[in-house]
Amino acid sequence: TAMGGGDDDGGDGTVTLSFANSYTDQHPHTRCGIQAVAETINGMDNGVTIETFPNSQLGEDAERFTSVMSGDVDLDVQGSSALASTYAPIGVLDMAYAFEGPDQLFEFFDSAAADRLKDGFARKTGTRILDVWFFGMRHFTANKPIREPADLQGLRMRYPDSPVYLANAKAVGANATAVAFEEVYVALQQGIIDGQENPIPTIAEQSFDEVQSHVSLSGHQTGSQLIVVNEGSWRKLSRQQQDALQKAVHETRAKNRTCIEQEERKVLDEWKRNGGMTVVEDVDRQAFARRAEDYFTRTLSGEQREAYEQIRQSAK
Amino acid sequence: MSMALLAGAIVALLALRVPVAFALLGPCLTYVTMEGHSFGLSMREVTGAIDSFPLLAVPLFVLVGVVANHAGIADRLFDFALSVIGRIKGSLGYVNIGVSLGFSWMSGSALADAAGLGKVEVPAMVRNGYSTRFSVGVTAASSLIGPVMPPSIPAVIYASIAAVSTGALFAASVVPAFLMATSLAIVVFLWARRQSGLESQPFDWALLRTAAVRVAGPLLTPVIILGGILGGVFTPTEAAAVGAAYVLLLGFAYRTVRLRDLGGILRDTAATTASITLILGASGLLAWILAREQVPRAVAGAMLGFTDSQVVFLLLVNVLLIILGAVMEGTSVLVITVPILLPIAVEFGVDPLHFGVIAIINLMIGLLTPPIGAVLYVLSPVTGLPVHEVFRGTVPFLVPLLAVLLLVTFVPSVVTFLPGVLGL
Amino acid sequence: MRWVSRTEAAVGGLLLTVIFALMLVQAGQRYLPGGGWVWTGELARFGLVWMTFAMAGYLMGRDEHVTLKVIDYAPSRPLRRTVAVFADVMVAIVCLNLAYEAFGLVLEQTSQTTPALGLPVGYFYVIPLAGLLLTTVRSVVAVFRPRATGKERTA
Ligand code: NA
Ligand code: NA
Repeated sequence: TAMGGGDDDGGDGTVTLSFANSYTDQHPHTRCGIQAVAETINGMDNGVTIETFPNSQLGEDAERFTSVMSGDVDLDVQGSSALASTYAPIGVLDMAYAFEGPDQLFEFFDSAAADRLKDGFARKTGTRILDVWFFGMRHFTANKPIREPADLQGLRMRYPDSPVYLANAKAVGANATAVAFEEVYVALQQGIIDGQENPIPTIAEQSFDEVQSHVSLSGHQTGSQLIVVNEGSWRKLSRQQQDALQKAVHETRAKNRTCIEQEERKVLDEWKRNGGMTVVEDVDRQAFARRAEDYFTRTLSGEQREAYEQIRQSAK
Repeated sequence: MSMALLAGAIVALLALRVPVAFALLGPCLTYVTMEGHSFGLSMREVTGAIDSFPLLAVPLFVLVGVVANHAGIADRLFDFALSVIGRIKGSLGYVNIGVSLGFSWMSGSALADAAGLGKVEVPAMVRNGYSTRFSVGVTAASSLIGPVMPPSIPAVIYASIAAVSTGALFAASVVPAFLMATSLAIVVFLWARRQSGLESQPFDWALLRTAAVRVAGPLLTPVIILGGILGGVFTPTEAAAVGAAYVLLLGFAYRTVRLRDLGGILRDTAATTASITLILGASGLLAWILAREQVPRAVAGAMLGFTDSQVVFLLLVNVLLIILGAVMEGTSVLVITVPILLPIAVEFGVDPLHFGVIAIINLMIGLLTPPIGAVLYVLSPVTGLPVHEVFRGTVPFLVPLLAVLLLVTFVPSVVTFLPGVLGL
Repeated sequence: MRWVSRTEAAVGGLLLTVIFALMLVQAGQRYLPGGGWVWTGELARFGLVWMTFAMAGYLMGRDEHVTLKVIDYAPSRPLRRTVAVFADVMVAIVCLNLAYEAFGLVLEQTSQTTPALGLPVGYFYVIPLAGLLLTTVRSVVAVFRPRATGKERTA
């Protein structure tokens, strides 16, 4: 329940909502993400105004999500691995090879099976998941091709500093090293780490292509971001306003995916053209995926395991 | 609650002797309550601003400085510098700058430098016929090399707010720090030319050899810290830890640090760090409020409407930061202004590393100017001069420092050259 | 009050030692086989937050918080004393308010745990709560028993 949220309740049916994320102004999740939703809603003149706060202006991920729970931020874009420290089962969405791509991700998310996950999350956090956006497939970069799990032997791979990601590293057989995101470029260049994993747009935005020779299209994780809203803020909206917001977020999902995939293609074409990075396409994804599934079926338990199995079912 | 009222309340509390952290917190807490934000938000934002991995380098670099001070490394640097250039006229002026330069590789803050070196250098200069005012002035001005030359605490703080690489910012600061040292030496040269009877010490190979041996250990510290970071051996935070361990070992080896001193060293480091991080936390809450009120967007709109020239923008930034640096504490100015100004700077095509070095030099100059002028307040009791006399001594040195600031502002290659060569 | 200051300094020094040791371990770990530990980074970060609040009262007791002390140069002694009392009262009010928030966060029923250590989030605020209360006590004491002016500390 919302304890606060600022003086955004106009009292005459008008509501101002804050919509935050951690991405730069140029990132698709801002341009074709929160800004797109804000433009749609603000152009409707239905009493709802959305103010956007990109670039971690309202705090880092964990800090911002706490603010969403308390109602100090109304809407936010969050990765499920970060949300897992509040509600563990949600972290399953970020697990290696859980999904085969955005189609399956969206399909699962719209299914009845996902409702249980969403309801459990809402009960535990007092926030509602409106939708999921595609963040791009995550791939490995290094100074050599990574075609099969054995290629990861002896490489120090940078992973984000959270339990889900470290489990992902173990699942595919990588030796994970935690390095702060801002330091990854320098760490790669100086050989503190040998490789990292991210979606193509992020690899390009961070210029990792300058310090890495190969990108191997492992697609080991279907990157996703959840759009969460504080339940109290949600209830302040009339039924029509709720529908309009839900629809705007959902329709942005498709456009956002196009945005990400266009960016991906543009970058890959450029690398292929100018040789900025060798794009390794013949990755044995089956071998990685089998290994990951084997790992997770061995280690997951309870609700997490249940959620994981439901996702895997939906793939078959 | 309007932003003007918030700012006014902060300024009033600062003037009424409320510690900076609490002067920021009071009005912010009032705002959060009045605007109906949730109970607990303030505490979460304050702690959230401190809870950051890059900031872990702060206590460790403070530790390096405290141990280096304790271990008597300043004396060794002093003897060495004197043995090299002792016979030159005005040598103690150059030695003063040289010692600050040497010490800057081990210290990330100006005050550690001013307090530690002031005690040694000012009396030595006065004994040799230098005026107290000049001696204090050169000591104060040269202490600013410490926070610009890596390791630098303001750089660690800027890097964590601006999300740039600390190592790259360190590399970017090296040339500007040398320029500061050079420009100060020019003032000493011009001053010494008009003086008579500044006794100099004859050159002696034996003395130089002894002094060089005594200084070899300390001069390995930058090799470990900066070399470790730029050479890819450590991250900045790890390098700070390894550097601190090394300086501690030096202190033990020189028998200037004993086991029973460790308690005091840890206590001093914790206290100095806490005085910085508490301000960081309070400023973090204020930065959150400013963002929530869309202040960055409003400032960007105003700035972009006012000018489309990078030069004019950077000049405005310099004026603004000099004023803020004079009336506010540097850490809080960084935390509050960088989230607002950096996006605009990027819009104007300014490199974030370049902007960081400009901001740091600006705020450090604020340490020499009243009313805040923390360096003046440190040197006043050390030398027995009243604060306004210390300030009069530093005035001639503000000219070269401002000249370096302008050079760094308008010749970006001064900053970007070294990171470029190193490929950062 | 002296033993309180000693305890604060001891806790602050201990937390500093923990940060120092964890970062040394992390630096060494880079050159050892096997994956890194996630919790070292998290504990060190928490240590920095805890150290900040553990030392807040110590600094207050010695008037060593970074403060604009222009007023100390005013010639009128009663004016100086009045302003000092005002400042101490302000600090007490601010600290009490923040301590109340910290108390609320300690008691709050939330399922949130910290990502790596799995520490319930409420525990995180225990040391800040204690530090703020001790700072409040110091500022109240200072209203009745003025201190000597402390030295400057800042970056
Ligand atoms: Na000096
Ligand atoms: Na330095």
